[in-house]
Amino acid sequence: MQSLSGLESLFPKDRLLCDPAYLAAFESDGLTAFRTKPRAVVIPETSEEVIAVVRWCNQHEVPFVARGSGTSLSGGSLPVAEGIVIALNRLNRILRVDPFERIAVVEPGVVNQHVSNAASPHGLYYAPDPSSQTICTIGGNVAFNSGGAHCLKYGMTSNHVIGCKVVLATGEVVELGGTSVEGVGPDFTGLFCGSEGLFGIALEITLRLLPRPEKFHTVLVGYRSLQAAGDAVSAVIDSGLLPGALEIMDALSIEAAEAAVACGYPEGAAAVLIVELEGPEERITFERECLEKVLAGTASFAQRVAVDEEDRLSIWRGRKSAFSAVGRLSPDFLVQDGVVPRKRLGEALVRIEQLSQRSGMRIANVFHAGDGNLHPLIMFDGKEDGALHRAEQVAAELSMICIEMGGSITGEHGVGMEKRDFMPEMYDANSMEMMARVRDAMDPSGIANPGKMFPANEPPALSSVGLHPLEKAGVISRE
Amino acid sequence: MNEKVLTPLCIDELKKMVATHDRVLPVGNQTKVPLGSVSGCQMISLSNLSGMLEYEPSEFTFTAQAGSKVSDVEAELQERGQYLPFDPVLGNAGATLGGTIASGLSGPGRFRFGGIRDFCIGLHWMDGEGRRIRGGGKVVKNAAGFDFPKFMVGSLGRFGILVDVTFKVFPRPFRSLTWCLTCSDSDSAMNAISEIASSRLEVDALDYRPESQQVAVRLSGPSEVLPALADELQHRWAGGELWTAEQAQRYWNQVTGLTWSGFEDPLIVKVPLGLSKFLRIEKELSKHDAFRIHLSVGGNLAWIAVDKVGDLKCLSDLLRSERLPGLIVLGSLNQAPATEGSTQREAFKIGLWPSTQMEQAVKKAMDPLAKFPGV
Repeated sequence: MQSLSGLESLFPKDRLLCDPAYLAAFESDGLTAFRTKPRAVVIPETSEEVIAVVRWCNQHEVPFVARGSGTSLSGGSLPVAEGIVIALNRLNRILRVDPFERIAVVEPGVVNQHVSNAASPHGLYYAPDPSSQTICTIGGNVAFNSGGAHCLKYGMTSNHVIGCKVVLATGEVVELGGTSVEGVGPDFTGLFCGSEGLFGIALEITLRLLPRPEKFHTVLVGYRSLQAAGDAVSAVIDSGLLPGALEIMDALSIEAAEAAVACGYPEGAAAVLIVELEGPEERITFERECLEKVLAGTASFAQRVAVDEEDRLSIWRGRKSAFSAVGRLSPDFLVQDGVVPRKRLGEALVRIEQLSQRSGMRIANVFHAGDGNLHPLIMFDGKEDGALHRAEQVAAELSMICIEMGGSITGEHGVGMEKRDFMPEMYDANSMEMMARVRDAMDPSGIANPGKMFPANEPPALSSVGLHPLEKAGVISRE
Repeated sequence: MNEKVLTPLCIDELKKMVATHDRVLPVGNQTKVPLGSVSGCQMISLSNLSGMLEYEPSEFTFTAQAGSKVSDVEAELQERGQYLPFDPVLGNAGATLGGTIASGLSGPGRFRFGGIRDFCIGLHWMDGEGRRIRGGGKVVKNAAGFDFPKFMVGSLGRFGILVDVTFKVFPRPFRSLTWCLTCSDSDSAMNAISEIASSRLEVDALDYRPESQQVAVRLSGPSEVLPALADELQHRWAGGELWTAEQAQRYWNQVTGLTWSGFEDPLIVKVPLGLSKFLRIEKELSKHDAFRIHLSVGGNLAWIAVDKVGDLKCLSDLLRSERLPGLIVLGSLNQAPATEGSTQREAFKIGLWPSTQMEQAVKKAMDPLAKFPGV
């Protein structure tokens, strides 16, 4: 086993954790089905300390996994046995909010929501809004190119990151991008976003800020069938409107959300559609009329328009609590994140239903309908022999359905360790090899977050079942 | 078109050309001539590998061959009420989709919804070994694998030959109008830009020309809504006027066509920056008659025109002192004064272009045969 000598001189004992009791807190992330105990956890407080530990790992060829709040749903921050976890939560300084240039420069451990809070006095906000935004960190958002409910109009994390100072796995410190949304030369900032920690660790991240929309118009619409809700999405899109969000929940997820937060969704709905318009008041007044006409032409049976901000948040509360709420219907579940072309959403839902019937496993559906991003929740009881394995098989089939339909295995959670075996199904051998070459160029020793994104042969992590303790406590939720 | 440029008619022919030449440089319709000024390379134009491959308006996406003309694609999108919101540059001059990605150029509409990096969601390229490599996908949301589509934006053909590309598109606004504010100086103009950019109005484009001290604000959306938003501009920032549709079209066409300077055959330099750095750059350049600036994308991008007699070294040194890079995208480099003292190998790069071990390592990994020019 690699000695930690040298590392001990870099960190005091209370920030270099080797006690198994402490390490247990880091052995899993939001994908609770897997856990691995790391060799040690270091808790740097400055960029210099992060650089020092990465250089130490490079020198000694010790693998490391950077971690923020550990909310990854794809096992993206699952530790590596014999490796080091670098916990970045103390690098949580917002270094600069510049309203004149409309940018913020933050450390990786800053919580997503805190950026918008800091920008708020200037009428600005940070647009990407993963459901876990009250706890997840910007560093993790960058690593996994996190999404949220408003991707259709505003894009994902990588569309809002304009620069990064990074320590690569080699120990080289590089500045990618800058403080302008424009650049020249290959877009290394874009390449770094979503690289799942395989290149190195972001030390400082420059984000663009947008003016907070003046007005929201949020409508909840009830349908008697999923198909009718899907048709309504097509009608909205075809009308030329560009909503900030277009979300669908099916009967099972509505039932769960009702039980959890009493969100008051229409009784007897087989599906609800949430449409949110946002922008200047005059525009919303006009678009609201357009939307009303479009929705009137759909087979809805109930409609609720948010009358104020509190009402709007209550509509969103049902949607944002859906994943954790499914825990009330089932002791365990796996969440998938595939994407299909929007026009094939209906077909995908039929196949999910068939899969559910064939496997005997209940599957709840919540999805970002505007961009075809499905989140089927596969319910099972981990105490039943082989149930986890069967759920994983269903999840695997769902990934394959998305690939067959010309979509993606992940819209916003990342590949991580969970979906790495499907990468060669989505990308051909040459394309996989090119990705591996770039990985090797950035990290020749393969020490940065190994075991993620690429299929690997290392021993499987231990598996476990159940909601994440923080989810059970209602602290975090899944998109 | 230069007779020395090869123009394959199919992918197999392209593959053979790549195999039979030691070093190649992919180009489109050569609308950005300086970027092709690389010695010792066989230029291969993708101009014959053009045409829409898939267009699904309901998906907000299309896939086209990289040699497709931007103007042809925009016309097809317009028929279905959609558009590329970043106002592709030099479309009317014949720019191709692939060339627009490789040069990394976005127009004023980049301000509202993002640039070409934000709308290019997938692509295939041919590497130096003749292999077809895929990056990204065809759906608007995709977090699987490294984001090669973004990486290729601005990559100048140094890593491969783009073959086909997939873009996200948006519904085209019903109407737009342009309001113009004449400021007393650039300082007050930058304050106005910052305030308007942060306002509730969600403007579509926000540009400035120091020569006329005019801030141009484009609003887009339903015709029922725009007058009220323009009224607010008029009310909050006194001294503005609404332009006629013709005035507005002429102005924005000059920006996307890079013809606004009034110089004859100038060099046009792209410089990404911010409002504060713009003020310092503008203060220095205003001392010379040979430079004119158009500030675009809400102050994030300066196009700097250099007249024939202009001192390019002076501009390069100024950019270097501000730690800014400049990319010469138009003009004749032969006419340009030598960039004495520059360590850049390529004459179209001025100012500060940091070199990293990382970039060299990625170049070597993606192009081990050095089939494409170096970085």
